[in-house]
Order: sequence, then C-alpha cells, then structure tokens
Amino acid sequence: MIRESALKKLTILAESAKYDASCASSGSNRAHSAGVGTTQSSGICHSWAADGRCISLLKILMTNVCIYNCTYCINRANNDVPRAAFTPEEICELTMNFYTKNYIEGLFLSSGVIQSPDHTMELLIKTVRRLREIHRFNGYIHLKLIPGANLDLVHTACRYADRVSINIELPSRESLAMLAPQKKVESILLPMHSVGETLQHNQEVKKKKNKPKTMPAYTPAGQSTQLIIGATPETDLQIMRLSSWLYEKMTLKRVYYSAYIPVNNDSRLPVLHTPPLLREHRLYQADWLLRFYGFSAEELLDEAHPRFDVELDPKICWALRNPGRFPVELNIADYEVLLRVPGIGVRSAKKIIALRKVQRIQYNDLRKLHIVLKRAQYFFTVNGKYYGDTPLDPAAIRNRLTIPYPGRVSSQLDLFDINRDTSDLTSAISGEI
Amino acid sequence: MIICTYDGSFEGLLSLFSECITKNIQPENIIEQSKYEPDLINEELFIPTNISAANSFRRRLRNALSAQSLKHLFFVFLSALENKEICMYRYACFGLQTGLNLNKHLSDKRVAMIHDVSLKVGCEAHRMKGLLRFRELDDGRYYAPVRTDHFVLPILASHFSKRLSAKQWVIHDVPRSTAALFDRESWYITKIEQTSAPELSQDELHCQSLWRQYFSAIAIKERINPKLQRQFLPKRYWDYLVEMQDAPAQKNNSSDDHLSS
Ligand code: SF4
Repeated sequence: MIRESALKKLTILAESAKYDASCASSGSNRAHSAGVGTTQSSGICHSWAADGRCISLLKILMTNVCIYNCTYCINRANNDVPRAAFTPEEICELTMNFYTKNYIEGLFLSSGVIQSPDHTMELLIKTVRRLREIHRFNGYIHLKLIPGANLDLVHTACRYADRVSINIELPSRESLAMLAPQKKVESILLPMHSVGETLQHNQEVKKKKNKPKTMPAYTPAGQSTQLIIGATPETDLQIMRLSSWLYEKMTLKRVYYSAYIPVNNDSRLPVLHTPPLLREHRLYQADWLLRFYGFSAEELLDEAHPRFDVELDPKICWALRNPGRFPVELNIADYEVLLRVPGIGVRSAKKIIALRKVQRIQYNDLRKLHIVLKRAQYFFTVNGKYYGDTPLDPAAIRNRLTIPYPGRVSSQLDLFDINRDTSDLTSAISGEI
Repeated sequence: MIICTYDGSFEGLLSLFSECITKNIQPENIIEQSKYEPDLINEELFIPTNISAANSFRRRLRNALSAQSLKHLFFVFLSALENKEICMYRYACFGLQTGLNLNKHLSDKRVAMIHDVSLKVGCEAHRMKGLLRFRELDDGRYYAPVRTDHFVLPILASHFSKRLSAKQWVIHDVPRSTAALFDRESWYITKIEQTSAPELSQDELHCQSLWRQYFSAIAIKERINPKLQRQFLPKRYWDYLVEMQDAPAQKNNSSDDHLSS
C-alpha cells in the first residue's frame, strides 16, 4: 500500500527545502485553543538527521518550480531537475498525519516562485489557512514570505504563522546583485521591516493600560532570516555587523547561517570542496554572544581582525585581547561581568549570583555550578586567589588551550570536539558557549 | 535504627514525610514497602498513605518553599535514583529551615543532588516529548511504546493529553510494564502485560514509509556526521524510533516485534 507517487513528491520537495537551516519551534505563545496540537515555548526537537541537524518541523517546499534563476539555488529556473508540487490539501494531510504520530512539532512551508510572488504567497496562505481553519491545527507553523509579494498578503500570512522568515541569503547588496539579480534587496527588506513595525506596534499596545482583552495572533515567534556563508567574499565582521543590524533595527528573533554547498556549476560561484562548517559554527557562537551576552559585533572583530579565529571560540578570543579586564572576583562581579568570563554561561552566571546570596563562594563550589574550568580558570579569582595553571598572559593561555591532543586531525574534522567540554547538548548547533 | 516504608505513591511519601516531621522520627532510610527486606539491625515502620496529611504537607511545602522546589521533589520521585526518598526527605527538611532561599544553597549536597537529578529527569522528559512515536492501531487507537531511564510517563501523559486531546491513546512504558491510557478526557496510569504485538492500521505503514523517506531526504550529504547525530540521539533511544528502523517487509513485522517481549 505504499503510494509511490506520494513518496517521490515528498522526496523532491523535502530535498529542495533542506538547505534552509532554520529548525526552531520555540518562542510561540499562541493561546491554546480547541483543535489539534499545542506549541511549547522552549521548542521540541523530534529527531536528528544523518547530518546531525535537528528535525523539528516538516520542512518542505510547496513547489520547486521557480521563475527566478538565483545562481546558488538548486531550484533555479535554468536547472534541469525533477519538479513537483503539492496541493494545499496534500500538505495539510501530511502535516496532520506526521503531527499526530508525534514525528514533528509543526510545518515549515516554503516555495519556489510560481507565476508571480503574489500568486505564490496566496497559495501559501491558502494552505496554512486551511490547516488552521479546516484541520484546526494548533501546532507550530513557520511560513516563508516571498520576496516581492504585496504587503497586505505578507500581513495576512503573519496572522496564521507562528514565525515568518524571508531569507537575505547573500550578506551584501553587491553579492545579491551579482548572484540573485532578479531579487531586489528592497523586496526582501521591505516586508521584513513592515512585519517588524507591526510586531513593535503590537508590543506597545500590549503595554497600554486600556489594552484590548485579546489581540489577534500575529507571528508570535517573530521573524528570522538566513545568510549563506562562503559563497561570496564578505568577512565575518561584515556578516556580524549585518546580524546586529537585523537584531536591533529589524527586531529579528534569529539569524541563521548556512555553510555554502555548491549545487550548481557557475563561474560566478567559488569552488569549495567541503562546506565551511567551522566558520558557520563560529558565526553561531558569535551570534549567541550578540543575543544573550551583551557583546557587540565590534567587540568581537575589528578591521584589523575581520575573521574569527580557527582555533579558539570568539568569547575566549575577546578575553585574550582584553586581558586588562581580568581576572574578575567571582564573589563581587556583576552578572554582566560574569557573563563575559569564558567558560561561564548564562546558567552558571545565574547560579553564582544565587549562591552568593546565601554564602561566600569557595573554589570547591565551582564544579557544582557547572563552570567549565578548563577555559574559565585563567579569568577569575575566588576570594582573591588565582587558580589558572599559567599566569594571565594571553600567549601562554592560548598555548595551553590549543595544544594538540592525540587523535586531533584537523580543525574541520574535529569541529564538534572543540566544544566538547561545554557538555551542553544544544551547543554544537546553537553556538552557546 | 528505623527504616520507614510506604506504599510507593507520591502521596504515600508525603504522608511519610509529614509523619516523620511531626513525630520527630529520624529515619535511617526510606524504602517502598514492597522492596523492603527485614534484617536484624533495623526496625521497619510502615506509614500508610493519608491523603489529607499528604495534601496539607504539600501545602506547607508550597508555602514555605516555592513551586519550583515541589517540582524538583516530584521529578526526583520519578527518577531511577537509588535512595531517592531519603534524599528528598533531607532536601525537604533543609528547606523547612531555609525557606524560600532553599534553591540558592547550590553548594549544599542535599540541594545540589536534588537539582542534578531533577534536571536529568526534566531533560529526559523533554527529549521524549520529541522522540516518542505514536502508531495507529487497527482499532483506531494510538499506541506509543517507550523505554526511558526514569519514569517520565506521567509527564508525557500530561503533555499529550493537551496536544492530542482528540485521540484515544496509550503510552506504554515497556520495561516497567506500565501504561498511561487517555480516553479523550483524562488519563490514568496502570500496569499492563502485553503478550502480542498490536495490529497496526493500513494507513500507519504508509505514514511510516513517508516519514522514513522524509527523514533520509532532509539530510545534506555534504554534511553527513553520524557522530554528531548520535551525540544528540543516543542509540539507547533508537528502539522505537520509526525512522531508525528498516521498513517492515510485511505488515507488522520486524520493527514492532519486540513489543511482545
Ligand atoms: S527564488 Fe528561491 S527557489 Fe527561486 S531560484 Fe531563487 S532561491 Fe531558488
């Protein structure tokens, strides 16, 4: 009873959606309603594919037919690849079936541009509306906004989605003009800006005294975007500046970074033998520092050092460039200062603050606070005593932390070992350090 | 020395705590009665469940400590930790001295231990909320076998009673021969012995093959990294994962065989 055509279609439309890095199902707070499903604010991972990436949502394209010809994209019009399209009802059924079996947290729906941006956006809206209103699906929906679609359609889409995204893909105007000439930068930034404004406006309304009792849902988990890393010459500094701008000015919730994987032969594209995974990893780590640790792009990199270090993570590199700020005394340092100590994360910093309220901290307490002493030891004192196995000297510390150990082959192969002492399951992907 | 025993229920344990504290009994250990083996040195004191004593003690804890502490106690109760009862007792007694500051005493063994174990239980429950797989049976019910380190079944049942409130489902903790049953309104936990593999519905097999297909299509081959995959998804959780089993050659074969064991 295996319906071959359904399998084939799913394969084509999942394979053409797989380059989108976003997987989050978190951050939504839509009210629970009658119907099928719930969202969980912390997000839930349902599986991990053979590439180690989390599977949380059914990530598919509605169709991989596209009128555009973006150079880097497998689905571009000029490519001779098998094409397929789902009907709205097929997508709904698949989502409902997978959801009730608990394979997924919800749907991530994107599409190639078919006929026109407006037509495509309308079809996507039709699908998610059907899912919400007829199938009464109350789980998570991430919907792609189509560049160039009418803003009214964009706002309608936001009423049905938990999160929307519109991918910038190439981190500069020049690169976009060269590799995606049919997409205007404005057609990406305008909808992003407009959604951002509406979200901010809603926030302000919520703060008012005479706020309405219920507010219609409007993409409660906010918006995200994706940047392709390594297809174009932008430096890490340029990328980080763009990300900070997106977080601050566009109020984005997440920026995803996707190591470039060549899928087309084109003289305008670089030839890469392996995707730049380490670079992608460093960007995620730095992104985490921007969002949760109070760092700015300019603190992490500058014109003299526009690229991240291969050997050490961005937080330690910052600390080694600023030895004057260390060591900090764990019994008096403020939360913001603790957060900047390598090896101390958000959770450890909070624990230090909590413990300090009932006693003075002793060195022996530190392991219980889940501090990564291997990295942290050089940057703090406890009751005035320094515990590092070498004096606080950047060159010596760098040396200590980068001594090759047996079995270490190359930084690329070793990618996820670098972080192994964070002992944090999510760190490899989320970049938490 | 006194070994206190109880009937194995959370209420029973709270009753026991309440009794020990009011009567100033210092238990050497606390054990579920069915697991207690008499010896020459110790003396058994069985404390029966008293719902009203349990409830008033629960209220006392909630007022003196925090909702968070009560949650820690419950999670540790679900854990596979040996001696969990006495650890919980010491944590609760210490809490009645410190009050709301209890959870700040992170360097105190009684607290650190409860936090660690509670975190492990919480993590496993969270992980299973994602890894649990329902199968549709031919009678229309949904069935999910699970195998977990800790007894997270009540947490899962509560989660799925909201998420899949329109289905009748069974979550089967296979090694513990226990199941949570949901009838579209409420759930309860009961012992079950399963002797044969449940019959799957026709659509179920189709759905499983679609999912397996999706699972392999979504991986990027240039990034294949089995080590990373296993880091997130340890092998001990693969048994009941539809995507980690080969497609059954015929109806009800291979992947679900071990349900009968
Ligand atoms: S518009 Fe999207 S699907 Fe179409 S070619 Fe460009 S990137 Fe690919």
